Amino acid sequence: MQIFYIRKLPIVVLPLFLITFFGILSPLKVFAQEDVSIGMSPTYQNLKLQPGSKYTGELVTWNLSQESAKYKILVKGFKQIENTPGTAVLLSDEEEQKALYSAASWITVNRDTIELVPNKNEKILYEINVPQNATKGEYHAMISLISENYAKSPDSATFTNVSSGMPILIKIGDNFVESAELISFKTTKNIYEKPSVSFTTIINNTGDTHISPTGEIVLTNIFNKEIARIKFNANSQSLLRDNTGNYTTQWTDKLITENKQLAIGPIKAELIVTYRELQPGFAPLIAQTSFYIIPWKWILLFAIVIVLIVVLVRVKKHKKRLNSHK
Amino acid sequence: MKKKKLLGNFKGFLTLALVAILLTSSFVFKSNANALTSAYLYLSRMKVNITGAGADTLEYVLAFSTSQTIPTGGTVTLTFPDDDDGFWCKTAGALTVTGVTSSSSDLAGTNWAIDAALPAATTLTASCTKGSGAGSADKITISSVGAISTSTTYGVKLANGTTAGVLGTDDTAGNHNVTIEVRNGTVSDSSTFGIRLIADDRVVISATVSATPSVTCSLSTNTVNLGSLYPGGAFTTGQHTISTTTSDTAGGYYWAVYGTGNGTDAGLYKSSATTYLIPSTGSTTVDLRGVGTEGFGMTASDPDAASSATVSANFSDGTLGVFGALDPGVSGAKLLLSQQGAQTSAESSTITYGAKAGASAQTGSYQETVTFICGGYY
Repeated sequence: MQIFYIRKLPIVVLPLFLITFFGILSPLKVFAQEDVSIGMSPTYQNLKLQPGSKYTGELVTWNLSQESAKYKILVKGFKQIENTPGTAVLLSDEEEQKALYSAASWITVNRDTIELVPNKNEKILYEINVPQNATKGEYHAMISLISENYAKSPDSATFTNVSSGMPILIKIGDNFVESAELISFKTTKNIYEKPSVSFTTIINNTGDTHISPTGEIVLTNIFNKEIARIKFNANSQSLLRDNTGNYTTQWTDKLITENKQLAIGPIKAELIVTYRELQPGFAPLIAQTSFYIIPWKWILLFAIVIVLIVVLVRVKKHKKRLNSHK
Repeated sequence: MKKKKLLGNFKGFLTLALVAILLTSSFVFKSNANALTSAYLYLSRMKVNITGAGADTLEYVLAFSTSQTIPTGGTVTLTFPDDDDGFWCKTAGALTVTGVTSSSSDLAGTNWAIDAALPAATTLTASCTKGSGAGSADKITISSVGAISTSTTYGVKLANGTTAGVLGTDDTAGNHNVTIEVRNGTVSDSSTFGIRLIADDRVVISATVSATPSVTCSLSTNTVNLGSLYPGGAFTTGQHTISTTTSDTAGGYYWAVYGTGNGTDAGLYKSSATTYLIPSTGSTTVDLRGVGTEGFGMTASDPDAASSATVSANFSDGTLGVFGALDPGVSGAKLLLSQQGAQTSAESSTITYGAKAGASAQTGSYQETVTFICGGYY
């Protein structure tokens, strides 16, 4: 009898072993490395609605990777990322509870998750129902998609998710207060070798709606000649209410600028910014700063050439004198 | 009695005469008219009221095979319904006629597939005539047709003439019977079949390229293996890329990141006992160059060097061994990369993760989930 069991044992064990072996391996195959991609349009929505009104819209998304991917759809309020105007990240659950102007509860979407197959557009339909008792103000929410990562790794690894969303800014009511203050306007350095200058402008939005400041920076040289006029916030990055935004403006030119002026020495920069939709000329933000452009390599080269010429002339003169003494 | 007999004889004679007439008449009017073995008429448009003018023109392809040989010098006639006068032949006159060896309506391997171009006795000619009133219908006649043999499907194409004849379609949707006759003298084959016209035969497909801004964000992988970390050893790295494309209507793009760690701090986390975190501490950067250091961080390369995309200073890949620190959770998201202005062709940045285990790190597998947030400016 014992012999029988021993002989039969491999027959019993082998299928079990195979089932277990492939059972373990198959999830590893499923959870392999994959590229992830998400696209969407529009990238934001500005709306003006009335209490009790309803708005329906759609968000189109797509996946340009080679693999299908499942995304979770979240609707929450949002905030700026690190004082960068025009950016948005969802509020955490705690932040959402404290957010006075989150419109997340007004928005319903037609699905909680979405499977994005490669190269196919998918629509997410949403509906905004503004409560009858909504008070005047600007409310925010973002419909956001975040990839679900089922990857597994037996080793130390970093797993990645991608998330993208459409911020929605909803104005309820009229007569908003557009107000802002200029915190600072300066260059990142005091001295530059060439006209490649970065300006940082910090603006605080003290009104009750978002603003999209616009304006220009005028540069003049030591001779009081205008050497350049740079557009401020050319991409209309918006600054949310009660937020501070750092705007970066880059100026790149040659020592002899496009309008044939010399960009060397002390340069004066004047900023003028408007931010109001109504009467934009009223209460502009104005500031001034200065910096130096010192092309020290050229100056050094020039000085060396002068010294060499002087030395050569003197050597020649000295030789001449020696020859005349002979 | 005699009168009755005479009447009886007359009746018998009449019967015989009628029988004789019937029998002989069948020989006198012996018909050589058969049905066509196969025939189709393909219209390049099946819309009602094609005028034949400008771009609203029409072509016919007729294919047929006969059950008998038709001698050379015959005709092919298409006769349209009597009620449709002046619609099928919009302007009477000579048409352009061409023998064809195939058409898009051929059913390969059947009699409805053209075998040969319609032969010409000399040169094929065609004309259309308009019908007028009852008993006169629109007609197209192809003349000077060469010998037609059986078991061959012939093809011929008809189109507007260079000067006069103009083809069209009737103004009523539905079925319209057309008779096709191939004849030479008394020898003819013909068939009548319906052709269907519809109110509109074209589907207008329209699409609009949206002017609304769009952004597409991609990660080259969802898993980066960092290999083995040796407690107290050197730092290891792993890489993937992120790429971005926007519509030209977008004001730019940005990427932000946050980690997960142990929920309190971001970093590589060993969740099984004994738990351990290789943290991504420090509000700005993690320096893994020194002896005895420990940590986890990441850098991003500048996608376009001199152009407008900018990597946030903390995540710059300028110093080997120094990585940007991550914070946990969405509320800790940090700006990684941004660009003012549209990016209509994909632009990539290489993400490098750096990790180093301290001497006291627990043995095991460590993992971190990094979430990349991407969007266009509002």
